[in-house]
Amino acid sequence: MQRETQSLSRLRKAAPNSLPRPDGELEALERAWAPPKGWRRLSAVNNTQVGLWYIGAALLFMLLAGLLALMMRTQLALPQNDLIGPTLYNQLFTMHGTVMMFLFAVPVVEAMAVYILPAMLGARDLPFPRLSAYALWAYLIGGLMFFGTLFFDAAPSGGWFMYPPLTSYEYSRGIGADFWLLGIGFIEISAIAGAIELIVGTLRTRAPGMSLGKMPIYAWTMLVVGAMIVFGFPPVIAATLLLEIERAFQWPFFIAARGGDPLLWQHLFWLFGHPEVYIIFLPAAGMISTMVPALARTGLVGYRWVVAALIGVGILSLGLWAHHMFATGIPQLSLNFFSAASMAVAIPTGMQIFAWIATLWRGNVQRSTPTWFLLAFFASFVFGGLTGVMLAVVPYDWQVHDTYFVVAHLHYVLIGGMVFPLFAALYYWAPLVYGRKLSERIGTWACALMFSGFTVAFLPMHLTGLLGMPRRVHTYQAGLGWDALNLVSTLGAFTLASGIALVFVDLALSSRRTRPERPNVWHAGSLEWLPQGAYGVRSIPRVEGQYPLWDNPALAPEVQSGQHYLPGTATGARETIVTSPIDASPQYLLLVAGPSWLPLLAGAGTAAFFLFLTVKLMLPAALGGVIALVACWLWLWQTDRGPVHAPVDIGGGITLPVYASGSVGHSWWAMVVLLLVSGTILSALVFAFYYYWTIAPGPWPPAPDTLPAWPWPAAAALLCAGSARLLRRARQALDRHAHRGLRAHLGIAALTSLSAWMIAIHGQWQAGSLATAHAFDASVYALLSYQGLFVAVVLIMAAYLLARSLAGVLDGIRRVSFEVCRLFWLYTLWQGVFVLAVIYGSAALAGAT
Amino acid sequence: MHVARSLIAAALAAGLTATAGAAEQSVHAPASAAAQSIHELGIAMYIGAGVITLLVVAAALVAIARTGRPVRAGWFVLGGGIVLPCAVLTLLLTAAIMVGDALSRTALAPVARIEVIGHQWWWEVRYLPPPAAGTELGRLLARLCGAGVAERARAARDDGGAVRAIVLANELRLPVGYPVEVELTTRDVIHSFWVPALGGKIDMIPGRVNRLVLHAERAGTFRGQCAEYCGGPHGLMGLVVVAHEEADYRAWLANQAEPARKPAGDLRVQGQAAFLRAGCDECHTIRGTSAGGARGPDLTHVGSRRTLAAGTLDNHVGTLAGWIADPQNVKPGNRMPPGKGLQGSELRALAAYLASLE
Amino acid sequence: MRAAMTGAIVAAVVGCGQDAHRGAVLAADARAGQAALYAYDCGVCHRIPGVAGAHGAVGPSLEAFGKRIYVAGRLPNTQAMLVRWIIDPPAIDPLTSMPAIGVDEAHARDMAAYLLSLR
Repeated sequence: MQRETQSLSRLRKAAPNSLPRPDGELEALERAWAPPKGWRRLSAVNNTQVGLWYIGAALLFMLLAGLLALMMRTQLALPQNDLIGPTLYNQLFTMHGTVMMFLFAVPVVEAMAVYILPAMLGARDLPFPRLSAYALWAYLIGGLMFFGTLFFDAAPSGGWFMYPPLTSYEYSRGIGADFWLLGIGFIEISAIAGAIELIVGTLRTRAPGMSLGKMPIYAWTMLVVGAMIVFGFPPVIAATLLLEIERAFQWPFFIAARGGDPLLWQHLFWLFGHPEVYIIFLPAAGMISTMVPALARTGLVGYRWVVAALIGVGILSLGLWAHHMFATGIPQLSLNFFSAASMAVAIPTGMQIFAWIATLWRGNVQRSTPTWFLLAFFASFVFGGLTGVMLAVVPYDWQVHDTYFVVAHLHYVLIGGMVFPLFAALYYWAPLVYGRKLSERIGTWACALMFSGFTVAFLPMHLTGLLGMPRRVHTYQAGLGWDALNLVSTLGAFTLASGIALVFVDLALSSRRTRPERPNVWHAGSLEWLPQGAYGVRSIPRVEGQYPLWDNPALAPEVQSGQHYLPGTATGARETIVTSPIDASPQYLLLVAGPSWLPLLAGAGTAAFFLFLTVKLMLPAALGGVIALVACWLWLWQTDRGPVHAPVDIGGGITLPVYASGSVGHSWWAMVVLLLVSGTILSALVFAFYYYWTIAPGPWPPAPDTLPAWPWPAAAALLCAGSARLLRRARQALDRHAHRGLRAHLGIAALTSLSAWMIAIHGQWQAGSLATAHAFDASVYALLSYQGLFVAVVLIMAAYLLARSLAGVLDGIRRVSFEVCRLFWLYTLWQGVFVLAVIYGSAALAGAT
Repeated sequence: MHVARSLIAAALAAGLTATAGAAEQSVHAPASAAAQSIHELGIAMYIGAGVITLLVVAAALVAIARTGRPVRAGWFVLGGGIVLPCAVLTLLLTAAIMVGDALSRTALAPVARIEVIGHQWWWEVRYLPPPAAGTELGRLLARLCGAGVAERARAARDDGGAVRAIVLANELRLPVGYPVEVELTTRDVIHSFWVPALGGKIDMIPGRVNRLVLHAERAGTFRGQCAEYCGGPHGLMGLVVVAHEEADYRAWLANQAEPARKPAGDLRVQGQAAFLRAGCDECHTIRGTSAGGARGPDLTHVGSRRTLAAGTLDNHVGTLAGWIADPQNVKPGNRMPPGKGLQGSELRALAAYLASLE
Repeated sequence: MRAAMTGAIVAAVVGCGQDAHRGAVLAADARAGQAALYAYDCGVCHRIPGVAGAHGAVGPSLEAFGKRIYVAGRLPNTQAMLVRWIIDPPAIDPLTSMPAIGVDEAHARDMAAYLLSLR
């Protein structure tokens, strides 16, 4: 390996830029990226700053949810204990699960990626730094308010899975469930913002030469995870929308007496819930795939197999949701299918585990705290995976489903599979933050305490479950064989907590002894270990292999002296290189957004909007909404800057433009991802619509006379098509720089889009269909309302484009805003036609047969 | 080989039950063929999982401990990651599907049909006329459970009408050796019916009827519990299943089908008066008296039940009194209001009366 | 019948036979009493330290019962009196809500011993 590397470096081409670098180049770069000082620091948006806050916030929520777990374990230490009554206990386990899953696990993996990924890819920042800042603030402020409901006895108590009808208005009258639905609803939005950022970042901001085949496994992982968020989160967004509407307006989506079905929620929830588990685990696997080669000082064995396994897990995870529903009485045949699919996940997971072991086998492993945490991972995750296979065995699941066996299993998988790797990662990457390793002594102790506490807490829990103890019980009868086991589990939980506390002590002690430089302490091969400043790397390296620092031992000094691409700032602003998605050849220079208060303002406004809406304080909610909208408007206004500078020579004979419109632009890519999310939410709603058909006991549609005559939907569809035509005219006008024509066409297209929607919904209403009458009507109105939401956004976009045109910042060249809005607009129109076809086409077909 | 395996299995099972002490609700104390097959499947899987975990951890430890050596990627990644799991999983899936199909096939004609309705937080248990009255026990059940919907309505009209019906709460009685079909529904939220000794659980979902066949193969008392979170005191929604030999079962059936006993002695008569005066009949039925409420459990033979408050308390005169006086302390959040306004001696009399309804 | 069953449970729980309770008039085993208090579900109505699930509020709390001067406000709090009360409360106070739940004398003695040990 080493010899190979040396021979390669002798053949190496010269670095793209020559020495010496001009005076003031480094200083200008430092000025452009200088972080804001003092209290203004909160306006920072740079990924190294936001990433750290993000990680800190996620760890804070881990501690808070962990405290809830300790309270529960204290209550369960003794049988028939009355320390905590069922009301509080139910809130505790609901909040523990919800906070751990939504406010810790998903955010922390995104946060780690926000911090590490750009450095690993050789980018100076993420493509949309303000979007990550927005995601952080919305999440942190909203999350704290959500957690705060516990102190007002207003916390949700329907479980993190929120099954109706327990959570519908009849059985949960308080606002706890609304807090869950709205609070989690917008945390999902924050997660999706993060996913868009990571997908576009991974595909478009890699260092020149870092083709997909040379991309670090961690980047591959985050790409797959981003895609899983795009396809996995929408079902739960749709489900939370439906349930909140049912609670607020009594549309009976899940009420059996009015044609609804509580099982629909379970399908939608687990369509999300199972990918969610892998959304949490895969980033940890990606971290392991990064740490193992570095610690073993040898490349990852079976790189291609591991990539294939990642994609395999991603696809499989979308097809095994029903294994959470084996006990609901669904048909045996589908049980067997889901059983097989669930077991099949063991194969790609097994491939990864054996690739790691093979890598450890081949290398000389550094024995350090991350290594110990990885050992803890192997021991617990493998066992947790195997109990998972047991749960996939349908008859066995009928016994142990919803018992402490499952509690044990899921903590083995989540703590074993995600928390241990995360702590390994904290110790592994801490030198990037502190300039030095964390304490080996404290780290080893913490790992020992955590692993032993974890084992003592959760290993006996398997037995507790097998002896018949169900989950989510606030107490239990003495004498069923559960007493001693529960006491032991409680002791273990406190031991685990003490280990975690020790890690935080270590972090606190180390933060007082930070060093500025970032030594490559593990002698790792990936780019994040290059010397970096606030601007990232001094010059963006040309990448020639999977482990650039091993492939070219001189890379660090070359990069630091400015011999690689873009060694300064060409425009005086923050910049990074956009490269092509597959082979990473440079395309244009992305002008990265700098510090701004707007994301913070927009985030706070969004959080306020949702939370005041929950407690039905309409005025403050409206105020929050307006603040968020105005902040977003202003923020976007600053983005589309046009070709502010002549094309720039980044070195190596490459000259890049500083502006790109059309499908090459990064904003276009982000919009495509957003539309994928929108389309997936739509398919979840369409799924619901057809689901009612499959369960209908009688004729479907249940009351055909409450459907409008065909001219209504036909007129609406025609108007949609017409609006699309007008939009095309608008673009032609823009090509010709015909500003008046552009404005006129935009205006008329907007009015046409709106009237199409109004005709559609009026048609449904005048036919006598009431959303509260039956689940069928409710699902029709749900689809139409979803379309209405998009039309509303289109109207805002039209206003925005008109304003830009009037302000003279929209023309034939400076047109990214137009293109991105147009994409959304066209999607909306075709979505409208599709929705009409689904509703009235299916109803006509069903009526005809 | 086979002997060795069964020895290990026996040792594991013994370990499980020994830790258990009383294993009334254990998955590994089977009393039916269904539970037995899952029990055996479980033991086999524990052994497999244990061995695989140990091997993988050992491999990781060795890999970390020794100096590096070249590896053959295919051997590790394909052998360990694809060939090994495929082999193991194919075996397991075959076994799983065979056991699953066997359990879901309910070819045997059930001798009895029991409707179990989930309520927050108790179980309403109604014996229905059997689907086929082929056996003698079936004929007896057909005679005793004749109370269809129409008859129930008439009984509700004519107070004290001696209609025969078998209605229990939080308790099922089964005949040993006969399959019994349970029809599961719910009156409110989702619950899950689970008696580990007799087999797996199945949910009770609004708008659906799920079915389960219970087939006890030995006499005994088995505990079950609601296994789907149903809010409030979900943890205190227990269930007792008693399996009787046929002769005992017939006697029990005959007694249950009768209306409630008339109170004997001053104290019990006073207790019955207190029952009506305190308004207990708003929610509870005692067949053979004017009490016909339907919100709470039927109390016609409450004295013969093993437990109170859905498996929360042993049933005797003391717990009856304590439960009636302060149900919210015993089971916080349940729907029974506290028995305020009863004199101390009235409470005692009421408890004595209910305890006498065997 | 139920009391006999409960008795058997208590014997099993404590792991000693009935013989241990015979002998001297007031010989008793406080630990057996603790188990008996649990087996007879006294905790439904009383708060009793050291007994699982005993947090009832129907009757008085039995915390620090050893310091109590009177039983039920009527009888001097001696072991003999307490035993009488546990076995048949209405015989002493016809207005009491506490029923006679069929505790046999040996168990009552053990219970009394435990309660009097609470200080």
